[in-house]
Amino acid sequence: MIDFAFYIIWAGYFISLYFVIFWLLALLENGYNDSVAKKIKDFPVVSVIIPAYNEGERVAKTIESAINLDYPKDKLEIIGVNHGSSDNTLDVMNRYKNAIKIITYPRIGNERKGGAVNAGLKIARGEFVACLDADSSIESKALHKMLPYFEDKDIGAVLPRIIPERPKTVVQRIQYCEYIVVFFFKKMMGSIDCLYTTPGPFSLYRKSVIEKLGGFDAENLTEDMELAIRLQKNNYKIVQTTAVEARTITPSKFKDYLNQRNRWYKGALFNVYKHRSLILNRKYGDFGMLQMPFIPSAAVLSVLVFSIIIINKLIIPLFDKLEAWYYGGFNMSPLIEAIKNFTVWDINLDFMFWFWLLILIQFVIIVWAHKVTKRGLFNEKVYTPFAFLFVYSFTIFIVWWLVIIDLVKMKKQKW
Amino acid sequence: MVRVPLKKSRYVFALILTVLIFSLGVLIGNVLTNSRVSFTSSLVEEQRLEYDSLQLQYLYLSEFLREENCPAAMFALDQNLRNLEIVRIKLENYLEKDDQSGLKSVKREYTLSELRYWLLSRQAKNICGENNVVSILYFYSSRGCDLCENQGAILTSLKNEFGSHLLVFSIDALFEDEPMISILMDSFEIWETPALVINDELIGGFTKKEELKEIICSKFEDTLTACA
Repeated sequence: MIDFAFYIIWAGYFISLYFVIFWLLALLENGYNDSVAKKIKDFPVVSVIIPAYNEGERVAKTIESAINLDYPKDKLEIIGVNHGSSDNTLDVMNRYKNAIKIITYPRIGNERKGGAVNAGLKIARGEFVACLDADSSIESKALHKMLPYFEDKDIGAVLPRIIPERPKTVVQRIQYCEYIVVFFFKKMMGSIDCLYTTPGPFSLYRKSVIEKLGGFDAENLTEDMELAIRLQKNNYKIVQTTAVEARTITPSKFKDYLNQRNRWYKGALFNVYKHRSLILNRKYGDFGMLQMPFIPSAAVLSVLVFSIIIINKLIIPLFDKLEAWYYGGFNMSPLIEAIKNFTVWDINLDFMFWFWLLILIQFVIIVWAHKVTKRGLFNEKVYTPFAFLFVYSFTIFIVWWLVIIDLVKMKKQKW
Repeated sequence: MVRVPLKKSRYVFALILTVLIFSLGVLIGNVLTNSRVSFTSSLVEEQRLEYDSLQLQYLYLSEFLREENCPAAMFALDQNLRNLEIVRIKLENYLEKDDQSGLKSVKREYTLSELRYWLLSRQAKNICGENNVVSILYFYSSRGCDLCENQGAILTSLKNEFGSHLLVFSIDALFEDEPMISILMDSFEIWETPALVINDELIGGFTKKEELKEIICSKFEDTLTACA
């Protein structure tokens, strides 16, 4: 049993190493191009849809950032969708009624954000539409930098780089580092057409494409991911830009963070399952062969590897120790002896080698990601990158377990 | 809207690189294991020297019957045994991480040391007429014996109480590389682990601390403070 468990850990190492090497190769091959290719030539009509459910406190800033977009006013349409809010969201929206269109969309059945965005899509007259989550904001030059990409008719969506608002708590700092690293991974994935999500903070779509695909999945837990997979399925390109920044508010408490991730990962599993025909399907290129299998295998590996390590290295030894103390009486002398006679060979060096190798690769990626996003590694507290390095993957493991528990209990997801 | 065809070479190249890094890890692991083996061998080698010296001491004692030197020799025996125990714990620890290596011959070497010391301790008791030392031959197995660890903890804590009055010799009953073990097990009729041979008496199965303490105390000629 122990042997089998350790084969799984080896497999985990091997597979995660493979994925990372693959993406790094793709990035090295295609280069990290940072430049905005062209200047904007004409000004097509753009609709910005802001769905909001009980976001009275935050939505004002979001609307203002949309209004402040540097774009001809007659070509910019902002649609605030009040998604059956019970707070003052509608009142806040009404403050801007001269500049934006406001519609109220009721909460129907199991519908989520996708339903609200669809309602906005219905009245949108733009050639391009952006979705802007109510907890996010966008820089004013965004459309100038993003629209030129659409000259390529195959491009269905263009993504900004998402950066959290200045972090205030440890949980937010870890996420801050995470967003920078995730962006870097997205850049790598983007270089081989493997982007699998078009996130809520200001993803810009070609409206004809979304209409052709039938809009968002209204009941989906992560409708942005679902749409991205459908874009990929229909061979539309998704572009990850580097120069456009959208800001978003991240959960400040660990519990909220877990809940958010729980929804994301559960949604990811559902959507990979929904579009399982793409998995290992050569027709869909790297996306089918690499990205689609990656999501479920990351889940399985994270759960298995961490569980095995925790059970074998923590729970079983602790239990044995307690049992020994029960029979032999509390006795620190073996521990003291072990410390007194410690030599370097007592460390499990082979295991440590793999552990530190993975940590080193991750650290290189963290440094690299900070460099390309022009952010100082230690700008937010000195410990931030290290907290990310050592704590983050453990939180992912916790989230996957919570997802498993929920799935077993068939729990209904709350917003 | 046509997808860029799959580029096989990248998959293959990534696989090659992964295998290379992975093999590098395995290679380094092997090098580390070898160094660990030679380190442990050197520990056991030192033990051998210590043993030789001690054996000579007893030979000298039995020839010249100089009982006033007995306490020092008994003390040395106890010290050597303690050191051997440290080596044993280290070795079992290493074997847990990697049992496919040269560590097994090191384990055989140390097992022989334990047995040599055990025989020597019996000789020493005769020579010195020492009746206030109890020796326990402790048979454990490193696999499939949940109670062994607890028995070990009990012995460790009793060793702490009795000090040099208690000598514990630990033998892995499942260690097949050393034929001497099966000879011992046959002659003491041991069929299960944990098993304790206290002086010459076999106590099979798991023995609780209080019970074991009582048995040990009954073997001492004088009443020790630990037994009172």
